[in-house]
Amino acid sequence: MLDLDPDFRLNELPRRVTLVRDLEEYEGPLLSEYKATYGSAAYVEKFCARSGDVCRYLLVRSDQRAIAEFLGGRLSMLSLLRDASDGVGFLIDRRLTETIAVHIAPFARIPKAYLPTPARMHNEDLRPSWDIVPQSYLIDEHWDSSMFATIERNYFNAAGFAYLTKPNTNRALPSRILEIDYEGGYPVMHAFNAIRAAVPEDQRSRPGGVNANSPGVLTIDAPAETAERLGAALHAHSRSYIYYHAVHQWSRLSRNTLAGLPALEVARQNVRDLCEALDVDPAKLYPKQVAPDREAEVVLIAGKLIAAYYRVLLRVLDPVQGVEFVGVQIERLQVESIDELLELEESEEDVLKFPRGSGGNRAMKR
Amino acid sequence: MTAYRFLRKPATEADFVPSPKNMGPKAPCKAYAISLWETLEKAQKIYADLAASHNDDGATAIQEYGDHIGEFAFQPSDGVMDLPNKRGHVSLHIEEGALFASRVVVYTPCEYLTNLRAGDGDGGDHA
Repeated sequence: MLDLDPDFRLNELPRRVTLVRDLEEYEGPLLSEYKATYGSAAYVEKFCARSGDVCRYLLVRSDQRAIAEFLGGRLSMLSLLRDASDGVGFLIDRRLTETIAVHIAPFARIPKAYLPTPARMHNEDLRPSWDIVPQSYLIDEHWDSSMFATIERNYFNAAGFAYLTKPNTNRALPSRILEIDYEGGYPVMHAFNAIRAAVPEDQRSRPGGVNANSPGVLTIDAPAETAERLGAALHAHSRSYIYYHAVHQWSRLSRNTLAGLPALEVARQNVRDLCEALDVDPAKLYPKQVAPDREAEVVLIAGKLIAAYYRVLLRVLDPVQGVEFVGVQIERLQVESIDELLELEESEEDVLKFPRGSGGNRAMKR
Repeated sequence: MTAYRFLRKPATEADFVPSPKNMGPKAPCKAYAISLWETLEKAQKIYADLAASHNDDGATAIQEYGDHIGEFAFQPSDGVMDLPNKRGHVSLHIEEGALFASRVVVYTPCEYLTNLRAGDGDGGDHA
């Protein structure tokens, strides 16, 4: 391991830092997130080299947005380490957990071998298994604090629906939302309110934090299972459009226009197809018992719910103008073509105060 | 079950020892396991990113992990392992006395290093 200039040796780090989590690992931490023990400053630490049982790490100042961009595949590891570092890092030698040397290092003098190649991006396969997964939204300069509540509520809607409709579980949607009157009065909004409330507290996603700089980042902390299920649904979202389109042809009917519903088995198949694409148990969209004269209505309600879930997922991916979801690394969603046909229904949900974003996962300037 | 591990050719038992950088008084159980991959393809991709974590033409990766991927088959006496996770990773807690070096049946060069030697700049495709 390279000998470091003793003139740059410090007695200790100038600031105490606390490990937040490992971002990448392979038989030990490769890249970790730290925060100032007293204060809000963020740091990242990278494994550099090893000699026997002594390991050397590079610790640099960072920020929450950069970390979110890195995890979202928007920022290289080199940029994560360099851009917010103010041109300086700390090389830390540790034996097990004992710090045995600290050297301050101007970034320009850090050996190339300690830094990644310029093309090195985040590899999700090197992520540890987190119990809580950060789901981040990048926010541009034109944010408004009321946007945050809208973004969070939409995510919680998606998370709650995904949790309660997971196949091969005893979970269920609140029974009353399968039977309420879906005629006027924002019924779908109320349905999702009930869905959010039905998720056990320890399984709920929660606000993680807002770094309201311009630009900034909003983070939601999601239980690992929820994050994984939503991630799979979001990956499937674009190719599920064909099934959504089939349901959408009739899901906007009302009780008074049920005659427009396709044959019941066709409608049920439409619901099953979209459910399967989004990994939702279709049986959970129907009441346990159905009176014969309500069969068409319950199929209509099932169609409304699964179609609403599809739209909620779209809002997770593409919330409002100036905001980009980076919680899941996903190829650019063809939002424009879907946009033409979605026809948001004011009667079914909150009216977003801000123009909805367009263009899917687009690069944003820092 | 067949699995893949980064190692040197020929392998020694030192290639099947948990990394010291993972150890410590509060180290989790997984720190005492070795990492394996379910498929050769996954192992190649992971190695590429491990090597690209250092801008040194693979030198640190070779020192830390070796320059080949070894294929070998498990047997129950080898220890305790978990099922492959969704990323194709397997952790094996080695039974005391279990030996592996002589059981590597196939050595495959790490493509990242092969591509570097062939002049493909950053070692080829990686995440």
